[in-house]
Amino acid sequence: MELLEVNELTKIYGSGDNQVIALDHVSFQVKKGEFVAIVGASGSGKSTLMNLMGGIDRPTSGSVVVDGQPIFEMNESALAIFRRRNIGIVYQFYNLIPNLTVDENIMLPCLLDNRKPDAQKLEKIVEMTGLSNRRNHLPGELSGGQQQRVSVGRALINDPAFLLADEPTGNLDSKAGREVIELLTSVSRKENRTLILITHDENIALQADRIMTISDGRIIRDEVMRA
Amino acid sequence: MNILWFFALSQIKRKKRRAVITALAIALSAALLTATANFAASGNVLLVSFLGGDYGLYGNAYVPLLLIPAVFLAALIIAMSVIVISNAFRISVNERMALFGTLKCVGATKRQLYKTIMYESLLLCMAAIPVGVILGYLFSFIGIGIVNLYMEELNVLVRSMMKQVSLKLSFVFSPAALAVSVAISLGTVLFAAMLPARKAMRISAMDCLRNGGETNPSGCQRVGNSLDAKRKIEYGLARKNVSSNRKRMRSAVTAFSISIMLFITMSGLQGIAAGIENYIYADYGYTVMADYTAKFKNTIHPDTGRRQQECAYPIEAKTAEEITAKLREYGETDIYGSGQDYSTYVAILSKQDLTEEMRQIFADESGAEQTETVLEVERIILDDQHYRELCAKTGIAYGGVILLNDYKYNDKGTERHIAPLLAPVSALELEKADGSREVVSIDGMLSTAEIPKELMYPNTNPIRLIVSAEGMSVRGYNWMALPADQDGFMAYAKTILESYFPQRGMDYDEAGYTSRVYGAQDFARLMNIAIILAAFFLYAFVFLLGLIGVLNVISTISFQIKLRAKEFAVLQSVGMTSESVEKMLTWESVLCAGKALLIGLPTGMGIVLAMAYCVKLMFPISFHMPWMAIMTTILISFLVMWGTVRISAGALKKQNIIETIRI
Repeated sequence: MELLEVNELTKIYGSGDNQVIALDHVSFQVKKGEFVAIVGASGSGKSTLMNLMGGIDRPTSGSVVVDGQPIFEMNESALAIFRRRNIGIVYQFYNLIPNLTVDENIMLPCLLDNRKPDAQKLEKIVEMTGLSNRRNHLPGELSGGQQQRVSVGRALINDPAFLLADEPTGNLDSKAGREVIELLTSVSRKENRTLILITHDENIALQADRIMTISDGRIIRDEVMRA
Repeated sequence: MNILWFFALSQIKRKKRRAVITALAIALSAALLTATANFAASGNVLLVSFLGGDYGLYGNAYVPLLLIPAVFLAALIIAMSVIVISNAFRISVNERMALFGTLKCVGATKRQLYKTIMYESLLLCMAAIPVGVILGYLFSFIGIGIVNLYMEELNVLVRSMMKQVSLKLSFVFSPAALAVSVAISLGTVLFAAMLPARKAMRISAMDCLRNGGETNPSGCQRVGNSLDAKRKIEYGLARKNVSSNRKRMRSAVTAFSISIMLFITMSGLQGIAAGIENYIYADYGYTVMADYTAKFKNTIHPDTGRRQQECAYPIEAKTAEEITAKLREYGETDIYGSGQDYSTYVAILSKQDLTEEMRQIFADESGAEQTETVLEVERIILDDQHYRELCAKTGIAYGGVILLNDYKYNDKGTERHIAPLLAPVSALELEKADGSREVVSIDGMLSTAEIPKELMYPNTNPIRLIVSAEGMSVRGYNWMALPADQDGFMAYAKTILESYFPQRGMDYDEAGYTSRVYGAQDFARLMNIAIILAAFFLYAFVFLLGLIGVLNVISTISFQIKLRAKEFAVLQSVGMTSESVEKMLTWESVLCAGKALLIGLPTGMGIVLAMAYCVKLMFPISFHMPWMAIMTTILISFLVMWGTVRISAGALKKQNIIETIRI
């Protein structure tokens, strides 16, 4: 069953002589529970693709269908709510709210929905991310790896259809990076949750079920590593 | 607590200094609005006590006297407040772009971002508006106290010159005025916050994340001036920065320009008022004036359609002479009695009768030269002694008619005297409103230099004739005196006039006439008090409004400097010394202040010149540009900008260059 369908996705920045084609008619599908790694050189269009799949940016043309819903047919508010409830995003620079505690940062998507998350679920996420003894800490009081785990926790709190991670280890040392990848892969495998991970690191990519290589805005290789 | 309220509150807590500055601006704005509304309410109570519940004859006075000035002042306050408060929220929004980006990425809607900014404004309002209202009442209380310090003197003057009054401005608590000022304050802040909040709504999550707080690329513009070795690098960079950051600095420069413009306008206005006061203060050769004025009614003659004046109680020359004699009995002073009849006759003159200058004036006024000129005639009677003296001086027999061949007019602000009629003049044809004509022979003529200064009062007609008082009655009569004991003479004169013209507690309208005794300079004193009070309030108003503008400048500059910390660190990393960075910032402050002055000064001076031009059309006043105020403004502007930059730049010294660059 296809969870995510990317159809002829094109993104062009600028106009005239300054026109840059960041994505050029990209199409692919991702199944439920699949772990996909997207690799490519700097400026190849990886992050643009991730922002479009996450509904953060809008394409020049093409569509993204998540769980049967074409997300760019939604207006901005509806898309924001859809993103809040169905897509978990993990960024390279964590993007945590500096004045919210670990618990509050994890709960943020629920709080934006004006509801309190299930206490058991929060407990489970905090435990899974290894932050039980840091729950009342502010992001500034955490290490990079811990902050990234908070970010993963936040991405998981609403049971999203899939997780998007944009170079989640890019800002971490190797040990912390490894821990974050272990966390993401274990979530993906144990909960049969779709994970799309953008990375430079070949070793990380090799852990994925499928590796897509992107260059100059096109998918130039799509290899299934394990079925 | 709702997460959106939490974000609003935490922003205030995180940026305490700016929140305090913004709250101060809101409080000052609310204070000024409250004070304005409260003054209007107090003024209304005063006018009701003076004129009656419906303002009596002056039923329309509420609008021009209270409502229009209040609305004008409120509009100024609101405009300034919107610029300043909006800028504060724009800064707040810009600071949080990265946060908004993150929130958008995790699913916050546009509406939610909008709400969190509006909640921040509401929180600031909840703290600042009550303080502002209290401050506004305090301003009103102090202001009313100051007005009342002068009010008794004002009452004495008005009583002696016009009417039995006892004016007192009371501190009034009006729930309606309070509700209006709170509602307007709240509306102003919400509107001001709404503008940047809407902007934040429109920005995409991508922009928020990508630019991390600097979302508007157009805020930093490409500018033509390039760096070269001809000028100092500090100046070159400063010039480039000011030009490319002009959008970011626009509100600070605008608010500052408005403050400068208002200050110059107020100073100019005070200069104009002083000019009017000097004009009124002119020496007419007496220190005490006693007068009688009968009520009159202007009607149109049914046959000729000409204006005529009807007067029920004119004063007879005989009675006036008796009063003159009685006033002389006080001793110590000469009494110069003169009565005027303004509207009985007009003179029909041909072009040949007028001097070239007079013809020119009428040609200028009518746009074309007239073949026949109709001029208003003023007939003047004098007390017997002075009439005799004047006849002797002119060399005519007692009983003759003397032409005062002087026409005083306001030549765009300059008082000019010309001879209206070509000498010699032997007779004039006068016409009444009913069309009947008579020829009056002119026995003698006095030129401007020969006319006694007692007859050089402000409003005169082009044709003035001194006629014999025999059998005459006139609408008004003046007794001018120069007593050593001014108060004693005034008390004496009042008794004499009261015995002839008893008011019996009635005013001018009811009695049909009025008699007064007052000091020659009382009008000027009255004017002086009015100027002092107006200057006090206007300067206080401009000062407080200017303070809001200065708060904006401080808030904007300190934010801009913080925002540019990375830029300064980069400059230092490539070898620019901290002294050079400071120099560059000082140049920037000079350029920004210069920009504000470049807009505010010419606008203010233009307004002053326009006001002076309009006033000069009515009064021949001398007026000078308020150079002192202009110099003070220039100095203060540079000081405020320079001081703010120095203080804000001081904080940068503590920063580590490498850490700042990494941020």
